Amino acid sequence: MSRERLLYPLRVAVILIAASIIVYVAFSIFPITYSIYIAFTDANAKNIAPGPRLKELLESRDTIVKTLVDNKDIIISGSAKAYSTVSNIIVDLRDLRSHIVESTPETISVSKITSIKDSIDSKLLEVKSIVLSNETPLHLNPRIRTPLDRAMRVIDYNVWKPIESILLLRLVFTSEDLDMLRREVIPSIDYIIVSLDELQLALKSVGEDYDGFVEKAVSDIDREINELTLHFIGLDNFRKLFSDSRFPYSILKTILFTATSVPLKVIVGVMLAWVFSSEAIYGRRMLRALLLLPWAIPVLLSVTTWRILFTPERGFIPVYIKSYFGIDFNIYGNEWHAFILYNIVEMWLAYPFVMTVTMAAIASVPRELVEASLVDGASFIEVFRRIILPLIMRPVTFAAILTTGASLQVFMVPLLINNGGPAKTISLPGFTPATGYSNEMLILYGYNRAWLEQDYGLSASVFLVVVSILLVYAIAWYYLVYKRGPRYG
Amino acid sequence: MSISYRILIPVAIIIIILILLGFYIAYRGVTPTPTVTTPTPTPTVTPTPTPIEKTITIGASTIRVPGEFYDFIGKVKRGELTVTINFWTSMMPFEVTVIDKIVKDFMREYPGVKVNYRGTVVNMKEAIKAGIIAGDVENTAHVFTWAHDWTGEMADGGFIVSLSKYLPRETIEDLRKQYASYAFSAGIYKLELYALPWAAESIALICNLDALGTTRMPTKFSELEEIMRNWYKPRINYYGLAWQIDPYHIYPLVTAFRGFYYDEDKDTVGVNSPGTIEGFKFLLGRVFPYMYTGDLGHEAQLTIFEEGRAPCIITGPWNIPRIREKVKNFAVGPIPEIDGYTPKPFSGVKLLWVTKAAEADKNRLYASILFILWFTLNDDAIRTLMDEAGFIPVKLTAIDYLRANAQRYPVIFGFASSLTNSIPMPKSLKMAKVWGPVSEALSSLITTYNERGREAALDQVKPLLDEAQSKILEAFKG
Repeated sequence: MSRERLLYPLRVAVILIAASIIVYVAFSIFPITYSIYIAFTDANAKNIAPGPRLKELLESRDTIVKTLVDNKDIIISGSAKAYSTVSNIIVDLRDLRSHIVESTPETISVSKITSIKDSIDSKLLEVKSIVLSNETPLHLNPRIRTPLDRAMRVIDYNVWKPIESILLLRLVFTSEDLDMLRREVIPSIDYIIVSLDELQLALKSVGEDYDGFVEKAVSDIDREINELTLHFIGLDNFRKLFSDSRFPYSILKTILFTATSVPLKVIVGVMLAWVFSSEAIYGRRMLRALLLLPWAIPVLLSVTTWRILFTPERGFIPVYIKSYFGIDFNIYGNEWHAFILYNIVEMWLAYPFVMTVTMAAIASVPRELVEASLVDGASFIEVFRRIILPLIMRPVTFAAILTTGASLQVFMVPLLINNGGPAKTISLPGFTPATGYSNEMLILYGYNRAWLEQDYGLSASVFLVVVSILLVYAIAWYYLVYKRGPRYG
Repeated sequence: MSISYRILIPVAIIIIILILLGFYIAYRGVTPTPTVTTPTPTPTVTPTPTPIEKTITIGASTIRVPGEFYDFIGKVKRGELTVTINFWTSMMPFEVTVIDKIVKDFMREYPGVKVNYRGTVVNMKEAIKAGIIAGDVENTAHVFTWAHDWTGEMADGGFIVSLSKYLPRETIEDLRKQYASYAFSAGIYKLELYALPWAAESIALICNLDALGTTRMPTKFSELEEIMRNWYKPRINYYGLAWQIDPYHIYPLVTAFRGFYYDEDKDTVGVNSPGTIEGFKFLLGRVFPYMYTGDLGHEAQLTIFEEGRAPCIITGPWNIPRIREKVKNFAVGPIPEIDGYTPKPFSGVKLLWVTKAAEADKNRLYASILFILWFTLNDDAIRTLMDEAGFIPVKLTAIDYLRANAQRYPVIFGFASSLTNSIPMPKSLKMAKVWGPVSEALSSLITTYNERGREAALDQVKPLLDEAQSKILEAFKG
């Protein structure tokens, strides 16, 4: 065996390469591809990860069709039986109606109402068991299932609930109770009778047009399968996105936020680095370490703390601002007050990074140069402007580029402070005005479409646009830094 | 070749490959290929449950059950059979302590059933869905509890078991007689019974009686308005009413004017119906002038009431432990009627569901069903829930007990009275598409109210609700 093969066995190389390809595909290629794919679909809460129901439907569709065809006579006879029971329920309901309308608090009979209730409930259950039965699966037809379901729900919620509430909590009917029953229960009884009439029509049509019944049942199963299946919809999500005035507004607001927060972060970070690089400050190492604390505190905790500090009326900062400046600083009610807080918090979170980069750069500035300019009579500020700043400009620019990326992707800060609020009517030339959150930055906009509206396809398309923006930004900076200027190293 | 080309060309190639791959997968998605793995498919048609043979008694309730289930109960009661089930909740710590106690009582009575209880599951719905999709039947919840509005989503996805498939008509008939009708109905979806109820909740008016100077709660809005007017002194941060403002909490005002957001029975959206518009206008014109509108969130409004800066608050039973710590003398009652009409808040019925993860093993399924039957029917358990966590019962015998002991349970009785006026939250998944646009419209109105005043906000009500209605209808179309 040659020395090379002994030292670098092919088998080991193949294993390592295969493993890295698998890891690369599993953790990088697949998630990215899937996210891109979702942006071109109608993904929503129902179809993005369908539960066992879809599998059940796909597997049992043919069996159901066969049952419907084979059990024709049994199903028709079941529908006739259900029809007759529904007629009896309608009679009971009319009886209940007239008892409520004609009674006085003295003559109304609790036992009569209870007996009618038991009779109706029992008959409804009988109809339900016919409709749900394995032999007579009439519920597969929505024209039968829907009115029966509606009638059962309305009777429970709008008829029995008010009656039970009176009987259970007070035991007797007062004249106010009777007025309430007449006002609220009687229209519900009428509505249930209408629903039951509709059900009877549908039950009657089973015998008259059995093929129609089967067709309707099968098309309902197909509709459900369709609802649970993800569909490719081309560029529809992008069309929807760019016709919604909230989205371009979100882009503009994010750019504005980047334009304000980045200079703030850089100025504060550089200033602090400069001040704490001075040997004139006693205990500066410890102070520097303390200044890096925002880095060590979890974002969730620090942003929540800032929110509490700025909570209107209770936070001490708005109280102070109001008492000394007369300004009602309200992060929940005023778009720009919230925007100012976002900038402050973003600056607080990011200055340690800028400060660290700048301090390292300042440390590399030759001491002799600074001392010579001071001997020549330059002031402290002049030394900074004319000597230090030009020498540290490159690393500071580099820090600014990186922190700009963070500002473009701001998410936790608006989410935790006020979810991008407050809401207002957003108008932009060329777009239909729409109500939305005035500080909904790009990433938050995408998150809210997924989380609040459960429109995952639209949300994925937002993120694809965000990635494109970041890509353009990265390429632009790449050219500015690497192509135009002298190279590092 | 310069460094730029060395980097940009591979990057461009990777992006192109990714896009092509994305399109390939996307086109495959148009016609999904079902994975048919089982030769004997599970029909969606309800199988006929085992016939009735025996009866069981839990608390004061006697229920007819199939013989096979009866035999199972006997075996686990004697400890001849051992089954483990996972029970998940997402509750506050004080509630978890009480539930844990009840779970232990159950295991003492049925030593054959071991219940692994997890009280504070984060993101519970998604965790259950993920577990079932992944087929992790051992570590996923077999039983869980939440308010009934999850029923539609969980049933449509096939994540929960239809009890109608396993319990015969007689059992369901007996069960129906045990609970308040609306509570039992909350567990039914598309005619099938999916869950059993154990408690209910809705918001109510809570007043600090020391602040009111009387024990009589306002029953008419005019009375409440007078109290609000007397208390409103914004210069010293005193307000007429504390009320968290969001679409859920203001629904009583919408219903007081016969408005609605979404009617599940008629499948209609009523966000811009005349009643809803009137309800919103009433809020801005007759309630906001007495409130602190700078921060209408939960924490701010609750603090105002706790600190005695507002005499009353409209909120739910979940805030009672906090209120009890700060306000010693308070009473709970229905939200006062407006011009003879009753404001109807949304109510949530707490249900116990059995998940698909339990269905694969019949013993586990039976143990899960037994657990939910026992939990919802055992009068001692319900009383513990009332006494130690303030839950409002929905079992008829427990409501009878509550009525007979109203003096002992003034807070629960107050919430129960408010519950009588309530409207159950819709179970349909469509409701999820309603909250967002209504919330945006409401937030926008609050911003206008704070920035430009009441009249400007009132003018905005109709256009903003019209816009919300269109957004919802658009979302319904998909």
